[in-house]
Amino acid sequence: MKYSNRLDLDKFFFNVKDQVYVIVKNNEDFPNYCKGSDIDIFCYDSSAFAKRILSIANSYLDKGFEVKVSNKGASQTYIDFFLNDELEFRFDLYESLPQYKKIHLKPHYILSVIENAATVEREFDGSRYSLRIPSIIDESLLRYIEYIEWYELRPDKIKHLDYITEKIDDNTKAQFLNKLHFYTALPEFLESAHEDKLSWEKAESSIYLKLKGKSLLEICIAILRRLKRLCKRSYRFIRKAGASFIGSSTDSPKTG
Amino acid sequence: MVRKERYDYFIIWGHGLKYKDAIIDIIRNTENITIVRIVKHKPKSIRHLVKVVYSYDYAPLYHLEEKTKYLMKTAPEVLFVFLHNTDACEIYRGKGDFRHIECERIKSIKEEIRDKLNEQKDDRRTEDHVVHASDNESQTDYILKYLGFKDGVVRFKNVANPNLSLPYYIPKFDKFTIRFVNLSQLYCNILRGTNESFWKETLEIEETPHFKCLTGNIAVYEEYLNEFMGGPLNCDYSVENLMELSKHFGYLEPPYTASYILTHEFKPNQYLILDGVHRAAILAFRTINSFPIAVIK
Repeated sequence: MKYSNRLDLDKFFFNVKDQVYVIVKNNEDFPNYCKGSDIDIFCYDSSAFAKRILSIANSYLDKGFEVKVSNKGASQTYIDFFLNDELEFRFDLYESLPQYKKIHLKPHYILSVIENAATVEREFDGSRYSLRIPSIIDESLLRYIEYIEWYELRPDKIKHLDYITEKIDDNTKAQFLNKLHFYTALPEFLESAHEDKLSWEKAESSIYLKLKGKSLLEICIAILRRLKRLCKRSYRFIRKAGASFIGSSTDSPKTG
Repeated sequence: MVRKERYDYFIIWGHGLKYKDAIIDIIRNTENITIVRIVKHKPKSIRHLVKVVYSYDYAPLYHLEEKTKYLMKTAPEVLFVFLHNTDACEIYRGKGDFRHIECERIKSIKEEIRDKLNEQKDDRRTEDHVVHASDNESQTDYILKYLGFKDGVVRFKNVANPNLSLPYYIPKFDKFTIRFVNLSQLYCNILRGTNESFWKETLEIEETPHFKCLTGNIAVYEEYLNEFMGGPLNCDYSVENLMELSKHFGYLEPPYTASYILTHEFKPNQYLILDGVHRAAILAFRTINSFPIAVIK
């Protein structure tokens, strides 16, 4: 694996040492990184965090870097470092959890990840600082979610399962499962939504088969016939209902 | 302890306008107060304006009529000074139906101005007040709406982009780029004409009144402010402010690391300053020819 390392990630994270954050899916090779890679960060105040990143970014601008900052909605910010119009590195900041399609995650889980962060002691410019990473339980849980979400499209995501089987032993298994069960749920709507989709698809294909090869005039005639049949049926129903109503009112005992 | 922030205003009445610089100085030099907007206003009638200003007051009407009689003789031109009060010291004043909340800081500024600048008779201050001030934020909101700013104080709370430190009047945007540029790539819009009828001219930094002021030609900048302040120029600009900034200013140095000069790329590799003409002028004056800026589309 060829590292780029044009940015000194220690310099950035030293500058956010007093911020409350956690690096998600921490790369064990930190601070090494490959060109075009990213780092996901959960934090309470993404704008304060972004400002700290930018203050270090300033020292890279005269080396030809350009920094693009984009807010994706109210709770996600990308800080992209470009060199010669090519993405060098991305800081991906989250104030709330990203949306997953295949698993339901309680929104306040992000607080638990941040509050239970573990630390890795590091050094920058002769000063020690703590890098905040998720606890083993949260790291495993986040990787599990990532695996569930993407395994169909990205076979390489199996690496997350390998990580879990390696890190979660008999002692931590119960903790992992408890947290997983507490914060996640399989979306119940999936099955019914799937059925709804199927029934719509069925209806669409039956309509298509009926109309296939017919001219516009023929389609109009078919619609008119259908409407006529519907009117006749409604008329019969109303007559029947009216008769039964009159019948029931004459049967009722007279008062006064 | 939670600090209470709010927006207040001062109105300098027609007979106090001759002291406007001294009044603004007193306000400006008060701790936890930042002037956010200055608006010159010529009401159709001073009677109507007095009614508007005092319509949210707590004193009984008959008292106000007596109290504001002197204003009817003043010139129908006033100056509103809106300010961000970042540590309001709110207390209750008055009794019964007239009990209300006031900020002690605003009250003390108001009294200081009145003590110094109200007309004196027999060595005593008269009650012909040169200024009036808001008691609470809803009065500020009401006056802003009266002046035609339909969002009221909400406008002052606008955050253009949470990742940058910008003034409230910059419209919201989601994306920006930080880029290193040369001074020669920067331009700014400078007002021309008069306060009532003006247009903008795009100039290089060295041609601006701001830069000329720093090089010693103070009169050019002074004239510029005198003509346009309170109208198209509505921030707290002054020669003293610019000189003070020039003395102590360090571009993007803590705690202003996110205070980039904000620009728009109006032609390829040419940038029009949307916020930061004063800072760019200082950098030019110090012959710092390349520096980072924020660029929006």
